[in-house]
Amino acid sequence: MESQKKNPENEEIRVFDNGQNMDDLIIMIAYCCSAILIPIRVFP
Amino acid sequence: MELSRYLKYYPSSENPGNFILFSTWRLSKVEIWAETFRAIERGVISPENEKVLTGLGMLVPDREEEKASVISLHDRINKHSPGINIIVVMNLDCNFACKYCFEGGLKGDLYMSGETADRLIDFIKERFTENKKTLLVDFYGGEPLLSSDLIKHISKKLKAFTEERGVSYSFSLVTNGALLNRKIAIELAGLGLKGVKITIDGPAHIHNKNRPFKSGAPSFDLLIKNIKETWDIVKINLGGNFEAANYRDFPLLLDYLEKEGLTPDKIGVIKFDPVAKRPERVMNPTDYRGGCITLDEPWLLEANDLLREDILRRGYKTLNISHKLCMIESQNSYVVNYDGSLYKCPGFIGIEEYNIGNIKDEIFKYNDTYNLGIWKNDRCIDCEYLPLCYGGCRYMTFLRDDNVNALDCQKEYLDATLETMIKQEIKYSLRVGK
Repeated sequence: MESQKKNPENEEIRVFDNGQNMDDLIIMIAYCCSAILIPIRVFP
Repeated sequence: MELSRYLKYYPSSENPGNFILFSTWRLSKVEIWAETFRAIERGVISPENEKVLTGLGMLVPDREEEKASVISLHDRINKHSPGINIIVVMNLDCNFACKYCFEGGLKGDLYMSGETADRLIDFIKERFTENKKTLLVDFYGGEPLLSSDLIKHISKKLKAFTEERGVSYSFSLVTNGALLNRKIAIELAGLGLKGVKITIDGPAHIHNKNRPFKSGAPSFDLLIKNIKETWDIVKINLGGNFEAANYRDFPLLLDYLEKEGLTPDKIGVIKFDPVAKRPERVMNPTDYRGGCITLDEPWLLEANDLLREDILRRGYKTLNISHKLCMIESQNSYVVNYDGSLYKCPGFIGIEEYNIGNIKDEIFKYNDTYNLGIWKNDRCIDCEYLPLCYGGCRYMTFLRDDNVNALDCQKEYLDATLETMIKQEIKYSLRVGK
């Protein structure tokens, strides 16, 4: 995820988080008690 | 362009009159002037704003196309997933006598045999087809480090296998931490150990009461010592089990970690969960905490908010809001019990009707057993929370109903908690795993 604290070119909308890139989506498998999060790249 | 159906908006706390927008599908977050947002709802938008919000998935060219993409997510993951993920329950024995552990007298001399371990290795190799790139094993118990020799045996074989293929093998441990000294951590790291999850139930006075050794001796100081010895070798993630009577004291643990030099840069993720109530017939691995909190007991919401805030405020990391694919829905994920029996979720270990076969024989079809795709109904598909929920947690449903026939709908929970969590993430610029 990319993020920026402020979008200086647009005062009406302040972007905090660009979210997931849907062309390269990474999903975490919900191993609810897992020791590590497991990233799954959906669209390699 | 239309507003995404997976969009939530909340009043800004810092700037009254503005809204916080959050895409439950793209996970993007913005703050927007209220009049700008109201105009967009009426179909009026500047080209500049349209470009920004389209880039963030908050405006979409076709809501039906967007919906189809959300619905097909699991299928696409299963088709493209480059890895296999296996949870292995090494034993049901333990050197602790946790006061809330329902396994209690059921625990004992139940260990994976060498023969079963070898069959497990073959089972994994058979499924690690040419297109697979990552193999990840999560060793559970009981206490998995009581089976450390067998973990080394399995890992040596799997490491050699994956190295031949030019791909990666890694493993993790869900351990009580008592046996994780520097020597064993170095040895296991050389075989692929990447992360551990250790449970500490708050400050010493609570933890030692909840999680003593079988002898009754306290374990808190040893765990802190072991974490200090190993944080630079493996990623240490911390869990903890709280109750209504003690959750307000859990931040004392965070104070103690800082005081002892275990600062946020030395700890992976911290997440505290409530002690779950379980039916007597359930005998699953130690420390399994499935799903999320429910609204059955309102104090849980307060505890969740308070503890998450305290973790983030001190600079520690916790789990962020994200899409999470339940391992039950993942075709490349299995749970292997110590005796080789197979399940789709660690919560169901030992419950016969949820057994899906054995590594020595075959895997039964489990679509109906685990009610796969239970969320594929009009109510869920039209819900703005679908990307965060996908029908919720089967194990939570099981705890509630003693079966998995119904949804574990997260709407009420997310209505009550999501706004706070989003604002916490904005406030603390939460980044997990980076």
